[in-house]
Amino acid sequence: MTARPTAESTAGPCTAAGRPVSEWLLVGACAALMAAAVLPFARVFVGVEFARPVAAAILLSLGGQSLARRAGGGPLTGLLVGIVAWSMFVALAFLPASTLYGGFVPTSETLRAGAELFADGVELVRTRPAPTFPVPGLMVLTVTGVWWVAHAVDVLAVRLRSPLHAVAAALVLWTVPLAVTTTPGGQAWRWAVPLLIAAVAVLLLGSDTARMGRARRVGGGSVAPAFGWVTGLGAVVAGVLLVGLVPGFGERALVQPGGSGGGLTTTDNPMVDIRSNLVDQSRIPVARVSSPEPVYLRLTSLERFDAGQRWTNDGIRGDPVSGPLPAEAQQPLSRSLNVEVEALGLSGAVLVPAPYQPRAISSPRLEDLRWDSDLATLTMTGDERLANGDSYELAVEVPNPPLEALREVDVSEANPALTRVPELPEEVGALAQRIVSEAGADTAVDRALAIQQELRSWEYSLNPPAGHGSNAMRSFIQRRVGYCEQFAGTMAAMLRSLGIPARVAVGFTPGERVGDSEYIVRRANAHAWVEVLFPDYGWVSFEPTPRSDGNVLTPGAEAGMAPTQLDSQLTRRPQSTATPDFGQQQGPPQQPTPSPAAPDAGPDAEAAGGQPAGGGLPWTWLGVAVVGLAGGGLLWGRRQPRSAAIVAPGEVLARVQRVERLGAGLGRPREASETDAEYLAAVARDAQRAQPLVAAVERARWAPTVPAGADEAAGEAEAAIRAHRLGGLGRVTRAMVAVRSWGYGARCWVKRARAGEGRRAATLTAGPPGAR
Amino acid sequence: MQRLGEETAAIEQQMATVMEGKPEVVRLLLVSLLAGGHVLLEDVPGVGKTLLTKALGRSLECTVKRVQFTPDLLPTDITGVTVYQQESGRFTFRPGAVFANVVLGDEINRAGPKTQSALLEAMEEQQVTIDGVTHALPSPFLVIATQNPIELEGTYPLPEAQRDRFLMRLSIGYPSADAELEVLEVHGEGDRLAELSPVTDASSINWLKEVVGQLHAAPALRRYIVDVVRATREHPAVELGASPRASLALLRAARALAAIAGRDFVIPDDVKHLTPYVLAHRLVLTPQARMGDATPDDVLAEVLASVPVPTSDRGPQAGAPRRQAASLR
Repeated sequence: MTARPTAESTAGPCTAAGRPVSEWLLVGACAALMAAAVLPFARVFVGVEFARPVAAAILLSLGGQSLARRAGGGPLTGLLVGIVAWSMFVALAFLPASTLYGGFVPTSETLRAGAELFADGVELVRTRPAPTFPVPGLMVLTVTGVWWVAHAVDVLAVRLRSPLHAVAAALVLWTVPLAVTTTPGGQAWRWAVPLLIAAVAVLLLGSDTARMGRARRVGGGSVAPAFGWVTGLGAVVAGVLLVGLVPGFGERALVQPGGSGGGLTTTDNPMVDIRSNLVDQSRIPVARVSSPEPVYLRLTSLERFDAGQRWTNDGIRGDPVSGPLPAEAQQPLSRSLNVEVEALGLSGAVLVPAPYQPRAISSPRLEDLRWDSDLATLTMTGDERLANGDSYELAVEVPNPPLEALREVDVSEANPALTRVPELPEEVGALAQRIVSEAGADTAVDRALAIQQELRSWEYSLNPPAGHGSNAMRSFIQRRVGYCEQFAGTMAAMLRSLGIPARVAVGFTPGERVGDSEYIVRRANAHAWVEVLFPDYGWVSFEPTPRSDGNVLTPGAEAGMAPTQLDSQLTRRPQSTATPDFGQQQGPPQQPTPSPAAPDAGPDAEAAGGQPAGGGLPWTWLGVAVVGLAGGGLLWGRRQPRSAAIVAPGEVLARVQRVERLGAGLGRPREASETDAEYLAAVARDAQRAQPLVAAVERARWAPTVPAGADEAAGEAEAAIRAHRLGGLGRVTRAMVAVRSWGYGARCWVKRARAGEGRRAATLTAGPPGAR
Repeated sequence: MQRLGEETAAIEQQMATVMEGKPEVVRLLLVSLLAGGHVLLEDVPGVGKTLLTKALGRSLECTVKRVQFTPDLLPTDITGVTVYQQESGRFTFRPGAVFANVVLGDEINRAGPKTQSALLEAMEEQQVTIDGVTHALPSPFLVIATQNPIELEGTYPLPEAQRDRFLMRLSIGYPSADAELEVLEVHGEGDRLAELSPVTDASSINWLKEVVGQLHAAPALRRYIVDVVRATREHPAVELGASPRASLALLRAARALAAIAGRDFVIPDDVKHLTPYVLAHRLVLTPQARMGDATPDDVLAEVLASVPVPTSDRGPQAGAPRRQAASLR
């Protein structure tokens, strides 16, 4: 036989449909999709330097694929081109040029350097909190991920014309940074809009039946796709409204990154960020402190008991640090210290740890520091973040008033906001009253000491239910088991219920002594304690948290702070001599496993009770929209009762392809010269059985228009064929059939990809595909 | 479309009552009628060729003429002649046998080449020119020429070029035993032909022909036709393959068959089905092949089994652009 048919138009049973949309348009849409998908990485990295390599990766990846296709390469060629281009890019962009032969050709040294960089990146991912600096290790991981997602998007959308899958791939890339990082007060909406637009573009351009500028009226006659319209509109409305529920769209991320070193990024509630660290037993160093005596490093304080739910503050302000810092309160009786802090694991942090109370700072990054004198909080300004290696020196004045002096202070003069505890559970106030009256304390400082001592007799546990809101507090005073957050939060609330101005301070205990006057503070040292305002003397610290070994550590104990100085009856062990490691002492035998999501869930759940719909999700509008759409759809449907479901030709063709796979599995693959009727009748073993499917597929392939509702009968016919052929087979035979079918499907897939290849190359060379 | 299906179904049903057991032939005859082509019936005598023609003519309510071709038949007997009318002193045209909607040319190979070509010319042109005056033939116009394949003595076989003028070649074949029994019973009772009543007329057939001509044939499908026709030319056993006229004929016939099947679009099955009827009489096999007992039908079966069937016409056909691209490079 010398008949040489043109293979391109008649590539046999598993030929893909024609591709009318220009490939360049589609590649452009893919690039836009990728660009939109990497936008949220702005949350992960500080600054915009990360954008350049990422954009380059997208363009090079997509461009390489386009060129490979243009040159007539198949998917495998494309993959090879991708691998080579990617390794060249990584080598040139991230690896030292000295390892490249002739500045261009990678050598084994390049390989080693690359492997090290990757290992470094993996390590950094675990330890660095977001946002972080675009250091090479992290960038190499990011660029690699983006590169191969772009590759996948290209293969899926352009080569296989499977735009939905491409969008899904991009969506994963888009979601990751949103899921693992917190937004500093930002909205993710702006990242969703470009993604949606780009996704729609890819879906439209990459669709199997897409034709630019021409909407196809399927079925002819009066087609009223009420169902489709309503579904589509509903999807848009639901998508726009419900997207607010996606993690990352709110103010907080669903997952705190494992390496939130110090968790010092700000959110509306520092406690939320810090909480996971309060039970963190990690020995990762946070800071090195040079100080003549152990000092508590304070991050910030929580002054507001928020509607009975949790401790928070009203946001941190900041004044530039120039010259002596204004005192938070007058403190005539205090001691002066000089403390130097070097950040070790604080990269990306906004809150700068400092002993209380700094009066002067000197640092190379002084212009980036801000001071909030009300909360005694040192922060980085704007987009600046603390970097590891940053160091700063502080002149500190530690409050040191004698107990007698404190007893004479009238605390009722203080700001009434500091004694406000709305919706405090009654039990808490009652318990405070009872403790105070049992101890016979009548001054503020005595009452504080009494409560502190009572709480110290309770049990310390790193596995408590999280939270310090009303419910957590209630269960805490019932069970008398908790951790520092609950001890501090409850004591502060009790003091306020007695009219004593108190707040919760969060930060770190002094850490492990490593030198003469040097301390290493680790993440395990994260802590919360209580501060009480004594007008004229300032904020004085109290430590209600017991140690698991019975020791009680007191903030500024060695600094001779008032409560503990005078509190000589308390059993406590001076830590400076024994150089205890807080991390180890504090740790119970078993390693705590705080669920990252749990700390957030607590206060959120509590908040939901107090402030319904406070999150900004327009439930009312959502409901109205859904009801309206449903009503509209019903009305429309009634007006056009005959509107039937529209069957895309692709569905019927997919049915035939399934039957083809079945036939191949049964040992009767389709011959290229067989028509649908011939082949389907052969597989069905009965022309009558196959008839509905045959009619549908003939129409789908050859008719100028496709009528509605043709698919049901075709589906039944397909099922009948399947049932007839597989019905009597045993399990093993069926498995064999399935395996052979998959094999055939895979071969078809490859064939299609190749055919699509040549076809597109042809289309490109021959100019824009014309209408028929 | 619906009307088309109804009318053709009615004709088929009606003719089936006289042509027992041969629905296929009836259908192909209708295809030929709707495609505006002519039929070469190649068969032994006595299987119902004349009956078939007459039945068609009756069902359509149009004129039927039958010409028995003999060696002494003159071209003017076919086309007509201008005669001097003594009474009026004028020449008047007396139409020949082709002036009818359905013309049965019996044993066309018995007439001389001159007479044969007069008929074939009329078939092709749909008009007759005599003494400088052109006379249009009625429409629809269907010639059914029969040829006896056995008797070769004293015949003038149609040359290849002439055979090309026929849309398709059919053979009725002997009926099955049951059908033949039926024939005996029916013909024993009397003339069933007389009982046939017309189900349609010439004007509606013309309308049907118009509709059929506009039926949707996808580019991939046309390409398939071309592939099949070209494959006949490249087949080693073929000396002279099918002509472009054959491609055209195949498309026209496929459209008509699609219409009769109630579809408003042509599918590859139509083409496959019609290929033997439309192409076989146009092929000239090589002497070797003929010695080897090969027939055009064998060749066509091989061709159909080798040309891949296009699977889709969704989207522009890539075949043409690629070819173009190749030539551009």
